[in-house]
Amino acid sequence: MPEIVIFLLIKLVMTIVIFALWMTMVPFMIWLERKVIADIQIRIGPNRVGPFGLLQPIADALKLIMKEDITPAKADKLIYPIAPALLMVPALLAIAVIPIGGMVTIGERSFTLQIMGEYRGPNGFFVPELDAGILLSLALSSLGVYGVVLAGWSSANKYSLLGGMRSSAQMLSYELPLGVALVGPLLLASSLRLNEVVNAQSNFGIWFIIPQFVGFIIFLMSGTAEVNRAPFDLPEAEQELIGGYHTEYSSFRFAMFFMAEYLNMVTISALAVTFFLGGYRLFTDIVWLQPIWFALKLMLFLYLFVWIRGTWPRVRYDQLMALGWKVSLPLALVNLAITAIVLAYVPKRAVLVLTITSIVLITIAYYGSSYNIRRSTDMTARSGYARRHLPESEETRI
Amino acid sequence: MANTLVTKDLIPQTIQDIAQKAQTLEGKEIHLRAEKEAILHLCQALRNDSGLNYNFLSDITAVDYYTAESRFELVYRMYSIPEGRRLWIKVPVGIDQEVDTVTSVWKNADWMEREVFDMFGIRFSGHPDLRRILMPANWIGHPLRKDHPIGSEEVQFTVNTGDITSQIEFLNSRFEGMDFFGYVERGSELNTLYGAEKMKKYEEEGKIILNMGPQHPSTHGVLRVILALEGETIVDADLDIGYLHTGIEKQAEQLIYQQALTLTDRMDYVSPLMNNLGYSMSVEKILGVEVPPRGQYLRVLLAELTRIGSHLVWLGTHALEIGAVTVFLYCFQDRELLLDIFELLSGQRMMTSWINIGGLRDDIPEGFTHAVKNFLEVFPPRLKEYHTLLTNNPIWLKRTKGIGYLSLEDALDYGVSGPILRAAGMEFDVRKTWPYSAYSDFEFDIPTGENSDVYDRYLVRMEEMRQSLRIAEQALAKLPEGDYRIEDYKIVLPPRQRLDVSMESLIHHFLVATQGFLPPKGDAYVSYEGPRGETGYYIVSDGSGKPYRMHMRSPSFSALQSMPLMVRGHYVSDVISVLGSVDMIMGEVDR
Repeated sequence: MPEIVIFLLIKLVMTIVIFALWMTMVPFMIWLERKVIADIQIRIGPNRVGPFGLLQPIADALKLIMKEDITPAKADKLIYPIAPALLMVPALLAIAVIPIGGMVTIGERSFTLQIMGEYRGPNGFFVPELDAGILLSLALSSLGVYGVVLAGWSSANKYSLLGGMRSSAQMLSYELPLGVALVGPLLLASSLRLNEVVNAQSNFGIWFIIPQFVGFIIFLMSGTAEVNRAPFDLPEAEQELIGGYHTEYSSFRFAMFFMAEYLNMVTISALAVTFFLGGYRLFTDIVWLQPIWFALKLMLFLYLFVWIRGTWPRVRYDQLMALGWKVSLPLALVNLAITAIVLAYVPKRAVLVLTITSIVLITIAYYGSSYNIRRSTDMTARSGYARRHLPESEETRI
Repeated sequence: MANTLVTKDLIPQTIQDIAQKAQTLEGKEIHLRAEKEAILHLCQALRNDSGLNYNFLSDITAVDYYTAESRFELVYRMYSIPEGRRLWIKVPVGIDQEVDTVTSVWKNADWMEREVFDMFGIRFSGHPDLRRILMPANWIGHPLRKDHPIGSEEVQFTVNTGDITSQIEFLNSRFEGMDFFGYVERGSELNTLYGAEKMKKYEEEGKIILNMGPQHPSTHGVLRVILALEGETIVDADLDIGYLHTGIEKQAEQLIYQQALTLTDRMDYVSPLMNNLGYSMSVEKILGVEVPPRGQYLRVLLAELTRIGSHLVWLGTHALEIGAVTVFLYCFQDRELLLDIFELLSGQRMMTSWINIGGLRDDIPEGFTHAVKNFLEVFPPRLKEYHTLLTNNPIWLKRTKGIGYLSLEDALDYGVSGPILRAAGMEFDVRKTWPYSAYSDFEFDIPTGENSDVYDRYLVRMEEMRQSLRIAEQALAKLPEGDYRIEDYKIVLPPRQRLDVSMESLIHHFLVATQGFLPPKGDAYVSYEGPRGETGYYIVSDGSGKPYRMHMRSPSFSALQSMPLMVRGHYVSDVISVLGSVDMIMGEVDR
């Protein structure tokens, strides 16, 4: 058998396995979210279908698929049906570059646990990891916006249209800080390959979350906005837009929106793990354990997403844009400039210097923003009773 | 003065009289009767010219004296705030007669006159937008007229399927030809009127017309808001109410007083006990009876617990609409404690009808005091937790600060009362201004805000909950012994055990339960401070066992009118926060 066939076979098997794992993340994530949110909100959550309600997402999916697929009379007959796919497919493809484990060696062949990863066969057969790894991922996540906008526009519903409009503006504005925030770790790793970024973190002996804390915060914020999660879930704000761009969708097409949202969330978390939390590496270098470390770190982020959703109110459209353009982007650029300068002039002590600068920067940003909020919100002219008694004296009274 | 009809010529003299009286009888009510030609000038004089400053129009309603010479009687009720003077003007109006509108004097006269037009068919000349407000645009007749058929829907059996089908066809035919805005297009004079035209004009100008509601998760039930948008910025808004109109005022006329009480629960359905209180106080005023102290204290206690419950619903839904879903569930968990208390009291969780004419339905059961004490202990830390979650949360601040500004002048002009008025800085609270029940015995403060935005309304309501806790604590501590209701068995049911031994009790029981009591002729209005503002029941008695007319002064009805003013220039998302801060209950708006 020619080596190329074996290579393709291995890649096919790996693709199917990773794909299946990723797809299982969606129902699991739905279950986790419902359970955690229920816990936060003093409820029980799903507990009827299967042990601990574990089969609830499957029941939900079945229910959705069984439902009638409705197309509104005035909807665009061509675009309306394909819009969910336009969102779903990029969300699925984006997983191709993410490494979930290191180099595996079987006989004389070795390869990384990454769909578009490195492959070494006998007789010098060598397929390198995709060079532009992160760029592909970012490009694919930008494509998702087409699905949302077209879904909103083709539904012939004003709420959907508003949702689509909000979403396009939101996703476009947060692409930039998201990308720029990742450049810091990329500079440190001096490679666009995600595997290299993971290896760089173990070479430095420190996760990039420490020297790149500012980048991490911006990435987290932009990532949340990018995947339309609370508190940035304006495009689908139930209380305002009744679901936004997917108001009119039902049945499997709605399920696709739903899945795409969770897939995107998992992908963004996976990127965060890869870039800031040392990827699949933890404790030992036993390669078959690495996917488990990866999954554990992923859980951390997914929990964070759910936690945020259970705690915070939703921001307003214009405030979201202001946050994106006036805070995140400048901060990300400053962070990038500092990282570049430090790497150019003190490459030996880069980690230490960057840690200190990121602490300084985040302190400035924190106080700056709280000053901004106070300035824009504190208009106390004279003191009303309610204000005099709240909320400081609240502490002393009770 | 009450009996002479004020004509145009008499206005200056009347004003002088009132000004004189105002010196001596501050806080008391003044009753006037005026000619319909004089009403506009009289109102203008009272509001603007005289220094009397009747700046707050509480209500305009009407009574249909079917057999009288001039058939209708309009009732205007106005206050001067903060002085706390009250004035009633009654205006006899014949059928097919027009009355000058007072919308130029108080802005909230707009909807009130529309309601009177809708319900009684009295036309107001010069009104900017006189169309139906609660009934569908193509309803035939005016429901609160005494000669309007009560009507009912037949139950469908196999024998009368044909009749029912034709009835349904008839009903459907009424909605034919209604356009998007709900206005009838063909052959009606109504279609040329202001509201519809306004929105259609915006549509022609290329603004997006967005229909929010009546089936929208954030409109607190069934309010319909029609927004004219430019991008996401609101150019103008128009409100459409009446989707929850259940004709309670008409129904009450068919029931004896005690039965009509149960309808009041269903008006403002998140604070049912307060409605009972208001209604009972009005009826008691006609009857001229005084509830004993224990009854009064228990009423105050229950009313304040209801207020907390109502504010918890407000806080929960308000936060939910701004996106903080968790707060909603926390609030409802706490409200559950209150509902448990009400269930312990009456077996009912919401529509308890426990406050009754003459006192309470029964004395408090065993364990009630313990349950209330438990709540008073559990709730303050929870309130603190809400503050932790929201008060200093940057996103919450950004979403509520500076949103929905309503100036004090506008607030008074629109008849806005309760927390919204207090958030604008006016210290007006019926509990302090005209103490009712036993409120004068209690120590509490009135929280006020200063910025009159959504955030200040939030702070005011949060503080009100704490003040309510204070009142409840005091009421429980000072709860006097004695009767919980009046012992007049012509009005209240005699105790059950006496029926077995006393023939007289049996007769009383029979009479009270079947025909009720017969109050003297007259009318009464008592206002109370509901969770949403000044609420009250206007009751007219003709000497029979049933109320001749029952009308509720709804605070949300007034407040909702100012909503377009609050949202103009804001974003679509802010409509939600503003609606949340108005805290309207459509049950009491539509009644």
